[in-house]
Amino acid sequence: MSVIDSTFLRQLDRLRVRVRTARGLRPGETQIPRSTQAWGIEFESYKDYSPGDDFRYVDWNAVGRLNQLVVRTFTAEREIPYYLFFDTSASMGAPAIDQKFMFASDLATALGYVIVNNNDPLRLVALTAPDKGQPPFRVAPVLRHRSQFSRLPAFLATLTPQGKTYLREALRSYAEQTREPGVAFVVSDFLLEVPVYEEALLLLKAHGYEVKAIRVLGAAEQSPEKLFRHGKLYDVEDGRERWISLSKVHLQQYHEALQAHLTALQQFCHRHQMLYAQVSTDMNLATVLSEEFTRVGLLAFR
Amino acid sequence: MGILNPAALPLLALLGILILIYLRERWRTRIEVPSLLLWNVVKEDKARVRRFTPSLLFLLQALLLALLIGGVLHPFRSQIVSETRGNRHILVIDTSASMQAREGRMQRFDLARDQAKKVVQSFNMLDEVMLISVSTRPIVVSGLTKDHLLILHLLETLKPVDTGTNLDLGIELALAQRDREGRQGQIYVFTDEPKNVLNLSADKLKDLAYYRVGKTDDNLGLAALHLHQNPFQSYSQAQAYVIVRNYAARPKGGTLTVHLNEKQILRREFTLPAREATSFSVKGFESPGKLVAQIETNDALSVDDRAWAWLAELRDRRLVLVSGVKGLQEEILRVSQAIPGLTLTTLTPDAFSSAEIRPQDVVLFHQVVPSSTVLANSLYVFPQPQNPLFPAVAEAEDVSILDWRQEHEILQNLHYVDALPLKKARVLALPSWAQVLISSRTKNSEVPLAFTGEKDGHRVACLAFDLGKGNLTNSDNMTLLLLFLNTMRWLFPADPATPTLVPTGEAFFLPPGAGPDSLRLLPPQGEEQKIDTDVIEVDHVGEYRLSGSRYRTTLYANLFDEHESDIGRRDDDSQPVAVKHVDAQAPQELTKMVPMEFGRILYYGAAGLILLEWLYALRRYYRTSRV
Repeated sequence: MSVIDSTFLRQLDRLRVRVRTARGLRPGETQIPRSTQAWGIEFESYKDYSPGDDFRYVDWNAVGRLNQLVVRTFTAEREIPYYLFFDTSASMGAPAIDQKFMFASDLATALGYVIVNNNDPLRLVALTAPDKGQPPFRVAPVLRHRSQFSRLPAFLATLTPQGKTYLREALRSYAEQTREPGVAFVVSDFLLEVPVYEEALLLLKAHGYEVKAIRVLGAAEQSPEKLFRHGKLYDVEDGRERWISLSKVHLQQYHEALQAHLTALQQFCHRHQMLYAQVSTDMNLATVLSEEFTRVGLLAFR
Repeated sequence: MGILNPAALPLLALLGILILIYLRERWRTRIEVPSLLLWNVVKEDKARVRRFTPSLLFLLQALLLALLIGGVLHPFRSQIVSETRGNRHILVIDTSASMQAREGRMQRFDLARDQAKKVVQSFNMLDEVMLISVSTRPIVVSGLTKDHLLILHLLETLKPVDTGTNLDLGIELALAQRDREGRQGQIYVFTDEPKNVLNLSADKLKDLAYYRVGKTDDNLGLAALHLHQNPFQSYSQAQAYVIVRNYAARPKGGTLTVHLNEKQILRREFTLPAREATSFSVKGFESPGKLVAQIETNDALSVDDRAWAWLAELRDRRLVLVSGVKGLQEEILRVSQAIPGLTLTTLTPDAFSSAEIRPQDVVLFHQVVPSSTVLANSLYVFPQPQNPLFPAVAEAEDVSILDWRQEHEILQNLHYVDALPLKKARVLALPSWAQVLISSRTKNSEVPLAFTGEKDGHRVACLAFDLGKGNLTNSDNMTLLLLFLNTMRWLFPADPATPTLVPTGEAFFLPPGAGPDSLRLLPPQGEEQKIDTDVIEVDHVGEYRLSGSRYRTTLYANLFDEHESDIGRRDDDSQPVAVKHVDAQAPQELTKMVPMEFGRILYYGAAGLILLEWLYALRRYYRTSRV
């Protein structure tokens, strides 16, 4: 059951996305430090007058002191295009007890609210399995204003976790057809071979996106002993089975493998200046947004 | 520990079934994981996973199943239970006629009762007491009870009766009651019988606490009142004999009076030597009626001093002979002429009509069976082959008699039944209402030669053989004549007004149809009472009057019991019988193993377990919902 309600959304009004390099072409409400424009609100610097500049912005005081025509320049304000890549593979729905998909949906909704609350355009891209010549993604209508926010949960509600993960193929396919890169949130469990997701994320970066990877981890994934002791494990994506008896040694081996996988992604993101956040389904979503995401620099308070 | 219902043991196989269900469930169930990527480092162990390892849920379910099966098995554990139990005492008190004998100012029964009371008062408070009175039959007056006051009260209400005694049976009953439930007890016998006359084994006798009362032998009693009057004799021809016996060890005298209908017809004074008897003959009675013999003497026992008899009036009886054989007609005529009060009416079969027959008649059908119902007692002799009552199956000649019912009234006192002349006989089909009286046998079956029964409320006798010419009056065939006369006597209906003589101690059975519903009984002692059974226990000498709307009769009860009248009761043994006195014993502290079944506890445990599981499931459900 979704935890998104009006009370929760009001808490998100205090937050904004921290953007480092990404910027759009259109004017917007996000100030771009060290980037100027001829008009604006926030004074940034001076420049020598050149023909064509607006006389209104000539600083006559400076002219009086320096005997030189200078005009004021202002901090550039641009809109930031946001892309929320949402993994809808079957692995996001297993094990069912974790409700990982719902948690990720709520997380995407909350992020989406934070984004559109700043009147920046948001495109939600559901990463799906390719079907009959269709691209391996589904794109939600672009949201440009908070008044359009209600379309986001409506779109997310149409998604179900199914099929294999085509992270690399989907990101490449989408990045190649997009002209204006921006901030790319990748919400996934990243249960893929390390080279696969590395290639996928690097590909995004290569296309100029500011990548922010959010890894959603199920509680039962971290403590599989709560799920079973002995049993026939079934991979929901490729249908393979494996008979596992969860002894202490085996559990230790699993934890080590999990930790290695988590560390690998974290270090990869660190190496390539991508922001990385790891959330667990047993965490409180408000805490995730206001504490965890602000701690790692994904979000900031206004 | 043990189980009371081992038949439920196979239910334990359900535990095996539960394990199989779990195994199947484990093998079938898949655990969905997002990816096997992380599990590739863990070694696959199919054998271990497939092996049965009990989970908590399984253990709970197995426990629940085991509890239920355990309940069905009815388990028990032996528990040592100790209890304080009193001793068991059974009092057997003789209430026969001899206990009425006076010993000084008191009766023997009073002496016995006083002793019994003292014994009861000596019992411990926890002791259980049973009271049995014995006359001709034992009666359990009170079952085992700790209420000693009740026993004392019941002793007080007991009274001796005018009957003989069967003390052996009473003691046997007490022994059987004593040994019930494997418990021991003490039997106390209060009687005037010497111990050595009891027909019991020495083992049984040695455990008895025997209290014998009575010493006197002072009794003069009526030993018999015989009235000789057969159904065909008038009262004037009857003759009565009164036998008087002196049971004392010294000469004793008295006066015998005989009254007929309250009128004294004999008074004779006599003196008898010690233990001698004499008889008095009375005849020439002037009227029918109640005959009472009484001796007036001063002795210890009065119950045997009076006796009753009934002098019957000769009734006119008619024998209707239906026969076409002249020789038989003549023979029956000669026999009937020799019987006083018997009238013979002879009819040919063609002239016979049922309408002419009165209920008190007897009809003799010779070689003929009427098609209509005869409303009188009847004798069928050698019936024709084709008849509606007993069709002939075959003819037989020179038949030998092989069996007969000696106890039947017709054959009583009849010797040499097998000497009956049977030259020719018919094998008749035995009707369902009849019983064989005399029979022969073939290889395959019994052949009835004579049978009797009751049909449509009337007695019926049938002889399957012919009487033969001259046989009935031939002195060589007395058996046949006696059989014929006995049959006549059985067939002639009794006069309902004639009182019935019953020895005391016996039971009088009401005839069918008399019905106790409206009958009232006036016993010789006491008040008129309503009867609610078909049996009247005759316990006292004298006259019992039964009156009702459908039935009315009188019973004369006499006590002619030499054993009861001989109140001296000398011991046959030269050795005096040792009387066992039992002192009051302390209550017994008993310990015994008692099986305590606890199957119900297991059921409660199962119910509790279900409740716990349900609460646990509910808790998990809410927790899951919250998540």
